[in-house]
Amino acid sequence: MGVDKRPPAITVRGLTVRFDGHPPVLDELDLAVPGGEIVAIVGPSGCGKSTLLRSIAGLLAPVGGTIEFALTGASRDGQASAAERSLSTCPPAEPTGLGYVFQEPALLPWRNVIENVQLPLELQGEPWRQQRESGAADALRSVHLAAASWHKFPRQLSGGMRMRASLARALVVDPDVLLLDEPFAAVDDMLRTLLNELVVELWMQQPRTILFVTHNIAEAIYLSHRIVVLSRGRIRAELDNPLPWPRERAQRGSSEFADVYRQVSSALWAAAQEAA
Amino acid sequence: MQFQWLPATCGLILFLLVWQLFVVVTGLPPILLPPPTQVAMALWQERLVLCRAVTATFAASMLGLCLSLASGSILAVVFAQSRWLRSAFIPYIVFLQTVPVVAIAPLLITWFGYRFHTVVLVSAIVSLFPVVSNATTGLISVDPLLVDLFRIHGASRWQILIKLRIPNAVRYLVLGLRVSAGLAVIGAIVGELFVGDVISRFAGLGTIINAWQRMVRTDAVIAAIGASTFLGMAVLSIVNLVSTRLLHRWTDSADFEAQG
Amino acid sequence: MNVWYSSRSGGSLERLAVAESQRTVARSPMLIMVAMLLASSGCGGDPAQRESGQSAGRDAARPTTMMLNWFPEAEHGGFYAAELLGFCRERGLELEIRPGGPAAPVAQELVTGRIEFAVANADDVLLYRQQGAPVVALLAAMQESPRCILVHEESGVESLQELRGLTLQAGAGRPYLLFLQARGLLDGVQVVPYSGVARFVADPRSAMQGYTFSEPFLAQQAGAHVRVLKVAELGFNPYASCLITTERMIASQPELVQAMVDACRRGWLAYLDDPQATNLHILKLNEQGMTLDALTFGARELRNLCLPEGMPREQFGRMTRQRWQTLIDQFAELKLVDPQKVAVDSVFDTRFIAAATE
Repeated sequence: MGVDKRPPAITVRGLTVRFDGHPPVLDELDLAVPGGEIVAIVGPSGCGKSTLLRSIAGLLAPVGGTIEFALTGASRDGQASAAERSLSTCPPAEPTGLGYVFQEPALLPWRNVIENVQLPLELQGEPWRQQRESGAADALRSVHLAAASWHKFPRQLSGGMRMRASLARALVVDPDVLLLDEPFAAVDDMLRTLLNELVVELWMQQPRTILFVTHNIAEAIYLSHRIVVLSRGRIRAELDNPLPWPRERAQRGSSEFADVYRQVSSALWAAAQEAA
Repeated sequence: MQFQWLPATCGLILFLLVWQLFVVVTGLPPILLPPPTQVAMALWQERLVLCRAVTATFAASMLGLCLSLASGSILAVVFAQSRWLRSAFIPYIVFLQTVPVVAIAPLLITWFGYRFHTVVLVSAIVSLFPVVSNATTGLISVDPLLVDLFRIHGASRWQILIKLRIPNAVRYLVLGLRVSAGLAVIGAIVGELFVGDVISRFAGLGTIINAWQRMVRTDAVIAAIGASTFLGMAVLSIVNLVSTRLLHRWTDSADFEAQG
Repeated sequence: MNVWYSSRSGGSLERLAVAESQRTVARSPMLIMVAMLLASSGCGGDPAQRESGQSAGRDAARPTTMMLNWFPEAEHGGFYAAELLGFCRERGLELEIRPGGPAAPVAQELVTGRIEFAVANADDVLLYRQQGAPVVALLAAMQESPRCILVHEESGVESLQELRGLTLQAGAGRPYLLFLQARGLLDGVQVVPYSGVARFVADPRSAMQGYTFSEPFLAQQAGAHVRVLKVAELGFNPYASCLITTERMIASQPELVQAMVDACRRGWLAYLDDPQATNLHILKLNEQGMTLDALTFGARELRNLCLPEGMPREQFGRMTRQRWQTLIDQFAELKLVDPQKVAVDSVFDTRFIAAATE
C-alpha cells in the first residue's frame, strides 16, 4: 500500500458491483486517486478494470459503496443509485468535469471530426456555435490533429487520427478527471508509443487526474505515477512508480524501467495465482 | 453493384432475340405469347395511354411512399421508446403486412371512396412495413458505446434521440425505402385494380392492365407490365438519388463496421 | 390385366393433374406464359388425340370439355341441360363443363387445345379473332344481348342518356362501355371497377352493369328499386352465350362438332321449357352464393332473350351474317378490331346449327 502524496480527487469506498446471478465483479473495493496524478490500473482480462471505470463515470450503478469526487464535491451513493439502474438512459449525477476515452474511437460516423469533438459541448448545453468551435479547435490542436483533417469524416481518417479525435473530444470539456479505458489496446506498437507520449505531453501541460486502465505493463509504467493491480474485483497491490518525470522515450530502455516492470509483473502473477 | 450499361444492354437484346426466335420456331399463337416486335408495336400504338397511366401510377406510388415514410418514421420513433410498446404493436404491423391488400381494398373503398387518395392509401399500406421495421431497428440498434458517451455528458433522452438514434436510423431507413419503393408501385397498381376509373380520369397501370387482359390484348398487357417495371425502377432510382445526394452523410457506410 | 390396369390409372391421373393445372393457370399473363410452356412441352397435349385411341376400342362416350365464360349461371342453363338430361351421351359425348369466372382464359385454352368448346359472347369472339385466335361461333343461345345498366328508380334516371353524375360499376375493357363512351353517354359519369350488388344497393346515386336475367333480380332482393336500361336498345346488340370452337376442330372433327351442336340445341330448348332440374344442378355447382329463385328468374328472362317474340322454336341458335357484320362495323369504329383482319365469314359458322335444325 502506497502513501498518498496529494489529497485524493476520487475516493472509492467499499465499491461492490454485481450482475444478477453472478459473483461480484467488484468486491468491496477501496481506492483513492490522488488529485493531479496518473493512476494506471492493470490486471488480467475480466478482473473488473473497466467496470471500475464505468462505475466512476456513472455508467453503472453499484450495489454498494460510495464514490466521492473531491474537486466537484459530489458523491455517488451505491444504495441510492441502485434505483436508477433500470432507467438505462438516466444521466449521471455530475456530468461535467469528466472525460472518458473508450477502447474504440466511438466517433459518430455522420459527423466530421470537429463536429464530433463539439458533441460534449452541445450535450452540456453550450449555446454558442462559435464558442463550441473554438473549444473544439483548441482540443484538436492539443492532440496535434492538423486542421486539414478537421472537416473529414471518421471513415476518411487513419486509426491513429481517430484516436486523437476521440482524445480531443474527451478534453473539450476541460475535465478535472480523465478516464481512459484501454484506449490504445487496438493500435500497433509504434502508434501506441506515440499516443502514450501524447498523454504525457497533455498531462505536462495541465496535470489532470487521470485514471488509466490497461493490460499493457510497459504502457502502465511509462504513463503513471502509481500502478494499481486489480484481480477478481479487488485491489491486490499498489505500487508507487519511481520513474522520474518528465517521461521520455529513452526511459523505456533504462534499468529502472526494467525494475519496475519486474515488480509489476510479479505482482500481477501473484494476484493471478491468489485468484486461482 | 454497379449498373453496367454494355452487358445489361447485351443481355436484354439476347433475351429479346431468344424470345422472338422461340415464338417463331414454336409458332405459338400471339394470344398466348406475342413476339417482342408485336409488343413493341403495341407499346408504340398505346404510348399515350401508357404515358398517362404511368403518370397516374407514378403520382399514386410516390405519394404512397411519402405517406408510408412519414407515418412509418413516426411509428418507429414511438416504438423505439420502449420494448413494451414494440411487443404490444409490432405483431399487428406484421399482420398488416400479411393481410393480402386485395382483401382489404374493398373495405378501404367503403371508407374512403372511389378516389385517387384510396389508391395512395393502398400504396402506403403495402409499403409501410419495411419503413417501420427498418427505422425501428435503426433507432434501437445504436452502438452502446455511443449511448455511454452521451450519458457521460449528461445527454437527455431527447438529445439521444435527436443526435444519436435518428441519425443512426437514416441508413436503415434508406434500406427500407428501397424495398418500399417497389412495394409502393405494386400497391398503387393493385389499388387501381379496385379503384381506377376504367374510362378516363385516373386510369393507372392497374386499370389498363385489367382492361387489356379482359380484351385479351396479350401484347398490350406485356407492354404495360414492361411499363410497370420501368416505373418501379424509376421510383427506386429516385430513392437512391435522394439517398446519395441528400443523405450521404448518414448513409455512406464504408468502414462503418471497422470504426463502430 | 395388371398392365392394363396400371396404364389406365396412370392415364387418368395424368388427366387429373392437367385439369388441376388448368384451373389455376392463366389468371394473369405471366401464368399464361407458364401454361404455354407446359402446352408446348407436351404436358397439355391434345385431349382429342389422346382419348381417341382409348375410346375406339371400347364402347365408351367420347370425352370432351367445354369452358364457360362465367361462374355456372342461368346463362349456361342449356349447356348444363345437354349434359344433365343425357343429350350429349345420346350423341356419344361425355361432356365436362368447366366453370369460368372473371377473365376466364377461354381463347387461350381453346388455342392450346386443352379444351375443345367454350361459351363466349359475340363481342369476345371478335376480340379473340382480332388477337389472332382462330375461334368460330357455332350457335348463339341468346339472340338479344342481356347487357344492361341498372339504376335506382329514385335517381330519376330513365334512359342511358341521363347517366351523367352517377357512379357506374363496370368491368374494365368491356366493348359496350367504349360504345357508350363514344356516344358521349359516359361524360360526367365516374366509371369504377365492378364490385357487386351490395355497393350498388347502398348508394342511390350509383349504377351498375348487369345482365337483365340476373342483376335486376339480385338488386331487388337486396331491397333496391331498380330500373333496367338495356344497352341493346341503342343498337349495340351482340349475341350472347355462343357455343364456340376452333377452326381446327371444325376442319378435323366435324362430326364431333355436329354432335355437340345437336346436343346443346336440344339442351337449350329443354331448359327453356322446363329449367327446374337443371337449375337445381347449377345451384349445386355455383359456389358464388346463387339462389334457386335467382335461377328461376333467370331462366324465365332467358326465354325472351333466346326466343324473342315472333321467332319460332326451330330457329333457336341462329346467327345471321348481317348481325355479325353490324357488330364488326361497330367494333371497327371503336378501333377494337381491324376489319381487314377480322372477316365476317370467319367468325361464325351456321352449317352445324342448320343441320341440327333439319
